Order: sequence, then C-alpha cells, then structure tokens
Amino acid sequence: MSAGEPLGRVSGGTQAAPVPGAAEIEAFFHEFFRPLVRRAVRRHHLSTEDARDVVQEAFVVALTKMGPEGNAAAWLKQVVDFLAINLNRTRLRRAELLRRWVTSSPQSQRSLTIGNEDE
Amino acid sequence: MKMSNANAQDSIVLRGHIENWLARTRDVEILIGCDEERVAVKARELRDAILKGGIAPETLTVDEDLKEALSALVFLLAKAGGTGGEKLAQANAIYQFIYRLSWTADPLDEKRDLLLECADIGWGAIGLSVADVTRQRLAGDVREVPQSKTDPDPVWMLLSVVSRLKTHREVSPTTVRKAAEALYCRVISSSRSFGLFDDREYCLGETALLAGHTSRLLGRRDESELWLDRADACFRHIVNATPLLANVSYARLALCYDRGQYDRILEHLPSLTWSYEKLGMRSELLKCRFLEALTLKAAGRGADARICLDKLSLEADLGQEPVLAARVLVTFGEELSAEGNHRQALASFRRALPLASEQPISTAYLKCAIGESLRNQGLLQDSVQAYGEAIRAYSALEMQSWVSYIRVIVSEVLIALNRNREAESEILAALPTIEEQRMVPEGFAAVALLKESVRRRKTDPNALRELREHLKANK
Repeated sequence: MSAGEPLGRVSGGTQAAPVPGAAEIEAFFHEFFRPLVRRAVRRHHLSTEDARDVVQEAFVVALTKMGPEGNAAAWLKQVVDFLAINLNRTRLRRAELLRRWVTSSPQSQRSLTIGNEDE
Repeated sequence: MKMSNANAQDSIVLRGHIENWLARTRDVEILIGCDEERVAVKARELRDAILKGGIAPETLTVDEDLKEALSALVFLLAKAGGTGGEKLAQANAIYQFIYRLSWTADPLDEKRDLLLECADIGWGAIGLSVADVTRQRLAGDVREVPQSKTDPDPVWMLLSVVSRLKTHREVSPTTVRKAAEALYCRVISSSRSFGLFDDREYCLGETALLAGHTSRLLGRRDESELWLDRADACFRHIVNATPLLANVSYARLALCYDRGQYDRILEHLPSLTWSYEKLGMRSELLKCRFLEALTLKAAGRGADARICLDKLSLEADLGQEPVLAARVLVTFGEELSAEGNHRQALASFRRALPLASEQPISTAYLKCAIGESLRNQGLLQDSVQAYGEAIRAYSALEMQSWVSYIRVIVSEVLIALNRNREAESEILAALPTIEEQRMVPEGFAAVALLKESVRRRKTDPNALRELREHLKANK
C-alpha cells in the first residue's frame, strides 16, 4: 500500500471496497488523521499502531465533547496529546506495579520459581 | 477539505468529517502506509543535506513522504546529542528549512508545530524555552546567545537597539520612528540567515510596531495603520505569536481612539483584555483598562469613566507603572475639574507631577490638563500661560497635531480675553498642520470660514468652536 491510501483491509484481510465520499475520506486521512498520528509518534514516542489507536479514540471523544467554541483543530491536537500522555502514564504505572509485585510478593516469586521449574 | 480558522462553523464541519470517518473506519484496519525504517533513513539523509546546505526547500513538493520524513527529523533532533551550541545550530538550520517550505492544505498547522518544536529543542539545548525567549522579548531583556554563524551585525545587538527604542518611544517619538523605520528596512533586506529561528520576523514585527506607535503619536495615522499591518504580518510568522499580536491589537485600538471610533474600541477591548489576562501580561492589562476609561470619557460616559478610573487607581500593580499612574492621575484630575471640583483636581495633578517628570509626553499632557482646569475656573490669563507651556512641550516632541489642537484652544481663550491679534496668529500657526495631517475631513467648512474670517481680521468664534470640537473628538 502506498503512502497515499488511507484505508487498508477490513479486519479479515479483504481490501475495502470503494465507498461513496471516498475523496473526502482520503482528504480527511491526509489532513487530519496522518498529521495527528505523526504528532503522537513524534511528541509522545508512541508506535505508529498506538498512535493510530490514540487518534481514533480522540475522534470518538471529539464526537461527544467538542464544543462549538474555540479552535477545533487545536482542541483536537490537545485531546490527542492528553490521550497519548495517559497511555504512556498507564503503561509506566503498570510496568512499575508489575515490577514491584514480581519482586515483593513471595507467592509470585514461588509461582515464578514453579514456572521456572516447569520449564 | 475546508478548515480555515477557529470558529463554530469549523467545529461543525470537523465534527461532520469525524463522524463520517468513524463510520467508514469501523471494523477496518487503517494502514498508515509508511515503513518506519525507510522514513528514519530518509530523515537522516534529509538532515545531512540540510546541514550541508545542499537542498533548496523552495524546489521541493511537500507530499506525505516529505511530511513523514520531516516529522521523523524533528524526532531525531530531539534525541540528538552534542553540545548545546551544536544542537542549537542544527535546530536552527532545520527550522529555517521547514520555514521556507511551501506547505499547503495544513488545517492542523503541522508546519507551525514543527517550527515550534524545532525552536523549543534549540532553545532547550542552551537551557531556555520558547516561553522564556518570549518573556525576555516582552521584557526587553536581550542576551547574547551562541550563534550558528557569525553575522555582520550580531542579532542580539540589533535586538538590544530595538529594546532601547521601545523604552524611548514616548520620550523622543520622532527619533524612534526614524530609527525603527531604518532598522525595519535594513532587516527586510537582510538574508534569511539573520539570527536564530524567528529572530528575523520578531525584529521586523517589533520595528514595525514601534514605527506604528510613534507614527500615531506624531499624528501620522495612515502611516501608523500601514506599519501596524506590517507588524501584524511579521508577528504571524513567529512561533509564539499570541502576546505580540495582542500588542498590535492594542496599538490598533489606540489608533481607533485617536480617530474617535469609540464604539469599535468598546466592542473589541473586552476580548483583548481577556487575552492579556490569560497571558498574564499585567502591564498591558492596565493599559487596556486605562484605554477603556479614556474611551468612556471621550464618548460622553463620564460616570462610567470615573468608575473605571477609580478601580484602576486601586490596582496594586499600578505602583510599578509610574508613567501609566501619571496618566491615570491626570485624567482623573481632568474629570474632577470638569465637574467643578478644582481643589481635588489640583491635588490629583500634584500627585501626577513627580511621576510624569521623567516622561515628556506625560508632562506635556499634564500641562495641557492644567491649562484646561484653569480655563474651567475662569483663570484665562493663567490658562493661556499653561497652554503655552504645553505647546512648547509638544513642539519639543514634534507632536504637531497636538500643538495645532492646543493652538486652536488657546486662540479661543485669547478671543475671550480680547487679544484678537494673538488669537489670529495662533490660528494661522495651527491651520497648515491641520490641513497637512488631514486632521479635518476635506472641505471641512469651519476651516474655510476661519481662514476667511482671519483674513478679514475678524475671527469667527463659531467656526473656531466647531473646529476645536472636531479636533477634540479626533485628537
């Protein structure tokens, strides 16, 4: 797939059929979706896949929360930033908890040992 | 896809597109379609070419591939090592490259974001940030920074001159106007490699704003407007434009005041005040409140103006702004005098005197206000003397429109004193500037009547009053 094609496969792997308003969708992909993905990758060090999910989530948030006042584009960028920061924070917290739990819980150490024994 | 600026219509349009997009992408895997490794390689190649100066941005088409590479390049820049100076130079080179790209269809302002990030990374490499640099610029605190190359005119020195001109703009407006115009012309003819990041646009914007401000003080309103347009255009290209654009808006409203467009000021001032509040620009906020008081006073809403002035005089921050404090006290005194409360008016003028003494425009304004107060009290001889002082003060500042306005007032007082010959000579001295600076509309009848009456050596008091009222409303 070239850099210019917005939609890839349906989850099953089939190529998406051309849909009405495809030109508009393509324009939206280039002018909004991709720049936001690039932003999330560049500023928040997300993988392209994570950035893509964050941007999709930001669009869902926009449908319910974006008001008529203010700069809509700036608002959208800010939501992407917040969601990306949240994602990174959640991951860090989870990793920290996991590290602490693994090192401090005897049960977990035992299960790890058992696991090792199993191996 | 039409997205222009911040307004409700844009939000509605964008919502529609998002709704459409989400409906179409449900259960669909969205492929971004870029190979991260390939993009990273391209970003490195691009960086090397930019640093060697071997690529002309004007010749490139900004397509998706280039946008991906630029985004990756800024990402690389953020992670780059090296000394602060090296990183600053790299960030600046990339900034200048992106700046010169012709980037169309950019509703999310991606180009501006990349520029801002480059500047932040570059300034960050030497322990600063864009916010710090903006604060320093607004405070006129200019410091030498390591340059990526040796300029014939070190930029920090030019910026120091600009900063110095800013502090002198109300001390010697004629000199500052000439210097600001000369600096603007010099910078605009300089190469793009002037300074770091947005230094060039900042310097152009500040000099244009200075030229606009001083042109207004000197009564050159059309020129002032032209300079403010230039300042606006230059500031739009700097990375943190909001505070400086707010300053241009303030200068425009001050120009509206001179033109007697009071409704326009009262319509736009709340938005500007809110911007200054949000930006934490306390000094500018106080200036806005003072402009509001002046406008209300000039629009005939004396009681509202008094409330404004009362509130303003209680502001703790006013103590740090002696020039503004002097103007507030003089205006307050004028209001008291107009109400017949001459003793309190005099007390207010006395309090203003030490604050205004270092500032020629405030001093001239105070002398004029004292002249008016004396006239209100019927002390016409003393009034003529005070007005004469004001004329000398404004003449020294080369503020000819003010000089002419006061001469017209003085001639009225002189007629009341039966000193008709002196009144005629004041009118004859004032009329050339009034016409030259187009202080009255073309064919303004009172001027023609006045000229004729003076020629006949029988000054027409009605024409004189009409002219004075017109000038007062537009001074």
